[in-house]
Amino acid sequence: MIRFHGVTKRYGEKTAVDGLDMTVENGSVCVLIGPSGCGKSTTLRMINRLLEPDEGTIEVDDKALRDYDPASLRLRIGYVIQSVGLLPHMRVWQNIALVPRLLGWEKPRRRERADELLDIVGLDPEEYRDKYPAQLSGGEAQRVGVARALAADPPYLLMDEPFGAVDPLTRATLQQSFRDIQSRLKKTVVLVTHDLDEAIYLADRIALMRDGVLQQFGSPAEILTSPVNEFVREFVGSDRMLRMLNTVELGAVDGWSGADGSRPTLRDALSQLLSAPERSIRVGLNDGSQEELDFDRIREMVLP
Amino acid sequence: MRLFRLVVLLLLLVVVVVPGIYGPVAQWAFPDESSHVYARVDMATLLLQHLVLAGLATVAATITGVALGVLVTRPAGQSLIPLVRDLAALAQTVPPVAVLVLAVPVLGFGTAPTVLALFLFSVLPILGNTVTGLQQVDPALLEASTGMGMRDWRRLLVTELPLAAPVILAGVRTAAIISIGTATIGATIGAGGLGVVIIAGLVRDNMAFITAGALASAVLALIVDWFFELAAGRVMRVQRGATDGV
Ligand SMILES: Nc1ncnc2c1ncn2[C@@H]1O[C@H](COP(=O)(O)OP(=O)(O)OP(=O)(O)O)[C@@H](O)[C@H]1O
Ligand SMILES: [Mg+2]
Repeated sequence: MIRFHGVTKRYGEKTAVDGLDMTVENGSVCVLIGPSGCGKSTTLRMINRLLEPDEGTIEVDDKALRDYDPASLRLRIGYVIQSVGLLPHMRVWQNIALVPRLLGWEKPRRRERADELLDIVGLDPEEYRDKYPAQLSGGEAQRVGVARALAADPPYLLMDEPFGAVDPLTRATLQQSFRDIQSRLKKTVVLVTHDLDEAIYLADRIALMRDGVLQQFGSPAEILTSPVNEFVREFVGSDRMLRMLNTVELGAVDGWSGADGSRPTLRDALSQLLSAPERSIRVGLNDGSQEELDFDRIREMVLP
Repeated sequence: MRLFRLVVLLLLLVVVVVPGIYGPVAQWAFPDESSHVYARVDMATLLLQHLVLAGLATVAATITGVALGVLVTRPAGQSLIPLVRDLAALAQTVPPVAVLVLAVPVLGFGTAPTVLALFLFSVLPILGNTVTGLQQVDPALLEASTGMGMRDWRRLLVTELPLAAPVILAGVRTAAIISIGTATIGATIGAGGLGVVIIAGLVRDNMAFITAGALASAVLALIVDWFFELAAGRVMRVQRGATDGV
């Protein structure tokens, strides 16, 4: 659990984060979102003590951050940055095994662990373990970045625009992989993004910030259906109910085709329904069962 | 092709150093000189002395330059960087001969003042390049390294120095080559080295001697440079993410 109590961070005159109160529950994904410069990265970097707050306290596992040794704290908090930050002079497996190396694992165990992680993030160990970062595509590098953060199985994961620098299709695949990984590993994740759809797709809780001030903190459905003020309403947009469709994932939709490993959402089903000759279509749900879907049913599924 | 260059250089060195070979060659090249082979000390010894002078200075300068470069790039040392840069530029303008003259009263004649002069001259390119190399490291890599839990010293060893290595190596290479060239002045204060033959040649107006000393130190510099080029290639390949052997 990560708790913020009245956390304020200033850069000179500028208040980057202003009196932040927020709790990230264990095993949940909290997505920080908001306009550029609203303090998302600053918030994230205070959690692993790359920055120190000027006021307030942050607690991890019910213990104040200032009572941790920063380096040992960071070993328990995986960190993924937008530019990925793979060390160019080390092979993929060595990059992934960096934290295990800091923890003093023996080399055979580190190699083995790197292979496991390549598997987890969907890269073939045979093909990738001995490559150098310069030989990876953007999407592959992002995956390796995630693998590196997960290497020592840290309970916490901080991700600053982890899927930022790739094309939309790769991005969708990466998001999908992340969701799959998260549903298995159940890390406590704080993730920063600019992309509302990404936030809705990945988040258990969304923290929407503006000028360092937290505007609303709630589930994607709460943010979309009951914005607390004009700013939030504007931010989520007048098409916010359409975005809600993305929060419901389905098992299968006839006639739908998407990126490798990705799954259709209610939005794809609606699209199919609009072009279907009948008033309803059959879709597969996540649990494998079938369902007759019409407009009324879609409305029910969107508004739980 | 590269190996061929080394073989040619080594052969040249053999020609200059082995009296039995250099004698006839010099006789043909300089028929007017009365003697052709410097007899007081053999060339191989001078060559070795020369290498030791330049080598000691370069090793000491590398250790000092890299250590200082690391110190001034730490957060606490940042304010010293402009000073270091100015000093580096200034010291480069002082000729090594001047250092030699100033060092003799303190250190006496011989090896010590010569190595000191070479050292002072070499430390600066190495220090300068170490600072530049360390400052060039992508801040995102530093953040990633610290963020994953490296302590400062570990980050220095694992991330910063390896990434700065090509630039640092270039500094050491410059320093080593300058040292080999400049070590000839050591002969003027009794430190030995290839300068001995050159000075003997100057004193006796003997072109065969002068050529032997100058050629030997030039070829030596080129051979050392050859090895640095090899090392630089290695380091750069790893830097960019090698494509071979993967
Ligand atoms: N080192 C710094 N010195 C001074 N001001 C800073 C520094 N870092 C950030 N700021 C300022 O603090 C504010 C918040 O920055 P932060 O990086 O947290 O924003 P962000 O929400 O991550 O923005 P983006 O979406 O563009 O990454 C910005 O106004 C920024 O200009
Ligand atoms: Mg940011």
